[in-house]
Amino acid sequence: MPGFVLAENALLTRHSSDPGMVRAGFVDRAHTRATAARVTERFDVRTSHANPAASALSGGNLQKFVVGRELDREPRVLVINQPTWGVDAGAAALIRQVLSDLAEAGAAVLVISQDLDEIFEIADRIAVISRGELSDTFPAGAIDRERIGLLMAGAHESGARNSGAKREVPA
Amino acid sequence: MKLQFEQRPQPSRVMTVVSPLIAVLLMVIVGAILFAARGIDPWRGLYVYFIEPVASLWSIEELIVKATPLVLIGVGLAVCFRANVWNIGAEGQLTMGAIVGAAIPILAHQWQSPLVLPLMMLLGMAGGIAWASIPALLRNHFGVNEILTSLMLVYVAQLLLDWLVRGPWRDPEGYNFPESIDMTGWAQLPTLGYSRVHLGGAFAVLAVLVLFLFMARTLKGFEIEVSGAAPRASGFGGFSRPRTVWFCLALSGGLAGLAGISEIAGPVGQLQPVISPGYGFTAIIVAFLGRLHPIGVLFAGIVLAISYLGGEGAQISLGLSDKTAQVFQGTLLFFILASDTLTRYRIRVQRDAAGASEVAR
Repeated sequence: MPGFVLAENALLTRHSSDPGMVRAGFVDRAHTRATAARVTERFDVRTSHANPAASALSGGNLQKFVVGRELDREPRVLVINQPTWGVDAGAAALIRQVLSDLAEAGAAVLVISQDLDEIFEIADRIAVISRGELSDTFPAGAIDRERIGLLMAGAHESGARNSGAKREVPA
Repeated sequence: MKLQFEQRPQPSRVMTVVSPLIAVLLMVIVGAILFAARGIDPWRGLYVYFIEPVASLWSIEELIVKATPLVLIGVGLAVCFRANVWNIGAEGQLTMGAIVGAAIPILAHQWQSPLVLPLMMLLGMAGGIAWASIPALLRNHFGVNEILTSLMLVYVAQLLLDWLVRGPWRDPEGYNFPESIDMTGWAQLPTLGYSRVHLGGAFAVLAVLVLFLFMARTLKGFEIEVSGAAPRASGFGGFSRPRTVWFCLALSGGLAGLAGISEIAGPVGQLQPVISPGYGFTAIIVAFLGRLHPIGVLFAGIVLAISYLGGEGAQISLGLSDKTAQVFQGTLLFFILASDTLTRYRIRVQRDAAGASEVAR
């Protein structure tokens, strides 16, 4: 929410999952600020001052904050679309690392991305969606770019648009 | 040539605070012009209108009496409008609150007990909530615009009141005047000394403080804020829009109902065909002038109360119609909305050629 400060944006998606955030209906402001500050720090979100309005952040920094906010709550199931879109290389590497760590720790992580490098870097299993149809799932070692390219094109159909690769990390 | 509104990237914070003051100033200027057009010395007109109401103890008491319902209703509407829920029918909720709340002393007037007054207040709120729930229900289940339904229910409530005081609830010893019996004994709100200032004023201040804390500190207040500012985001956050719509309408309806029964148990003293000089509508202006902020509403309520008193003063000492007050109030709302719009948008003038090619495309 552009006009709202980061602490409020943290409150928005975490008020029910984070028990310390709301007590008896009242918002614990220190707690929400601390959460926002932790995300900002860990994911290297560059801000002009503590707890700025979301609209004051650049696109990349905002993306880092949004992704960081969700990763910070250590979900057990995560479906994430284009997690490193518009983010600088350093932060992208960090986000990928955290995604891998999360899967390592036993969470089910489903990443949707069009960045093949990213997919090969972190995926355990890969499937491709083309024209709304999901392909078989391949272990990351058993599939290469060429095969993915064919699947993205619809394998034997040509002219498929809007295809994306999907990576799965088993629970 | 073509005029176009263009959104400002970052609305100025200063202007957000200053714009109501600009609006008040512009209203005063227009008022002075109107006085001059009627052949009245503008200075004298403005004095009667805006200074006299606060110049004596008596008029300050009367100011509080008038500000009480305006603040009670306005603070509920402020919360409502923040959520982008447009309850325009507070006048009807006020009327229903008055009717339902006055049912006990009218139907069971022998019953005298300290319980009467609290029960009246609770029933008054219940009446307002019930009346405001109709637009909420229609909005949530059938997608009907609450602006229209809440507004039209005003007239239904007023006609019901009119029928009651001319028919079943008419005072049998009232010489056929369309009035109910007087509120007496325990059915009266305590007043401050011998003045007309009544306990409703305390309700209003309490409502302001509670809703201020509510909006600033609670999750529900945050939910309302988000629901109005970014409905999609609020859905992602797990907040339910229908729940917000119902909550806001019920809250503002309940406060309007409380204002209504407080008028009956206080300064008005009985049910009559007309029990309010449009408090429910004027409270809309109060909410906007108060920046949709509870504390702001408290001050805005006093400003609009001045316009009511000034209107009465203008009738007596300037011989102007009582519609003058409405002209002032309407002018004020117009300027508030205009300056708010210009805070968020700027006007861009497009030259002929550019405008023509725009149309051609």
